[in-house]
Amino acid sequence: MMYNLYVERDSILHRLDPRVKILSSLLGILAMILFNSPYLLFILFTLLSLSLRFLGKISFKEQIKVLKPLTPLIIITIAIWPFILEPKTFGLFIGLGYALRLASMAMITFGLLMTTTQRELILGFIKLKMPYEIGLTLTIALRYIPTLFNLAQTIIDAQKSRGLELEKGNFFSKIKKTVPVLIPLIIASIKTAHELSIALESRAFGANKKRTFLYTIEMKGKDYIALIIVFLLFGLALYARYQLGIGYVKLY
Amino acid sequence: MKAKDIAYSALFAALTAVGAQISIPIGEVPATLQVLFVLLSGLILGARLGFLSQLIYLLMGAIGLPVFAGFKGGFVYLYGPTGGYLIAFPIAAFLVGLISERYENLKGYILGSLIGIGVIYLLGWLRLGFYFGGNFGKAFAVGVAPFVVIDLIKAGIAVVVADRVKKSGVI
Repeated sequence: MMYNLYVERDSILHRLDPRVKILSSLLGILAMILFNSPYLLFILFTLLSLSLRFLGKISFKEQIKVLKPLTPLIIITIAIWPFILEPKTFGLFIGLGYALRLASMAMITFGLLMTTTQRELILGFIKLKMPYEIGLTLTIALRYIPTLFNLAQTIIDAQKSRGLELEKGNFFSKIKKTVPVLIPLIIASIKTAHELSIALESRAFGANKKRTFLYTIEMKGKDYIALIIVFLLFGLALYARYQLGIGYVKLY
Repeated sequence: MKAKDIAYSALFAALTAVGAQISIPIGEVPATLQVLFVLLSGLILGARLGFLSQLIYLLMGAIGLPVFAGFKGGFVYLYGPTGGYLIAFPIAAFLVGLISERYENLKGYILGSLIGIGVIYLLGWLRLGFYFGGNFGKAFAVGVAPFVVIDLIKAGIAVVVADRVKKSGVI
């Protein structure tokens, strides 16, 4: 399991303020929704990949590695459109457009995650007025996934040793056999949550209204310049779509 | 948010992520326990925390952590053709919690779970329909009909498990 996509590099994208990168990613995703023409989206996808390569120093090999799990989703998208739109070649054309849109959106979000550490990312969201409790809850949840996963395996093994045959029987009896696994798993989780909340309170969680941070971030000149460039590019995308009418194919 | 709220919603978000990875081989398509945990978080934690735990689950997935079924993660899955089902999780957990809080008995749990499953399928079907350019008949045949019976059985399991967990007195 890969729970951190961050790639350590010294690049322009890595050094930008996380808030700039988060806002740019949002605008980038919005810009992708404006277009559905495969020609334009292919150009945008290539530009994204190139900028990640040269501004973020993330090699094409690394980019392919994170995009690979999307293959089934992309194949389904391309394959399903010829059955929806007539003629079939036009359906395929639109399917390619939608697949490229998904790939571009993935490139933007994975680009953000590959150039920003988790700590910077959460700090960025908090500075953008996300309640910090959400960030804390997310971190705790993340920390407990492997623990609960192992616990589930242990419970399955324990119940198997008592004669539970999970693999046998028809569909209905198979799913009924998950009950003796689920109940101990949930009770153990509730007990863990209870202990965790006591641990949080014993460290005076929520005692002070105002919080200070060990690490802080500050917007510098280059961050403002980057933000202006991103807004200009987004304006250009809006202009192209609504004034020049390029990049959008009418479906019906 | 209190310490208790954070701890419980974090644990149930993690449980949902684990449930999405546990698959039971049923025929050709393996069924995951993801939906079961959505219903359970509503039934056990109630409306507010159930909603919060599922919101955290989606947030984890949205920022690219592989918590969705088949170790997948990324914002694309929320936007993509099957995004409707995922977006419905917090709403479903909220409604299940609301109804089971009002009627603290088996009937309430059953009614709540049915409505929860209904919301998940409604949003999932609508999103898929729009993704298919407004072809809702096809979306129903591909995205609702093959799975709805399995998920109704899962709802039954969720009711049984929630009832026993509540009777055990840990919460």
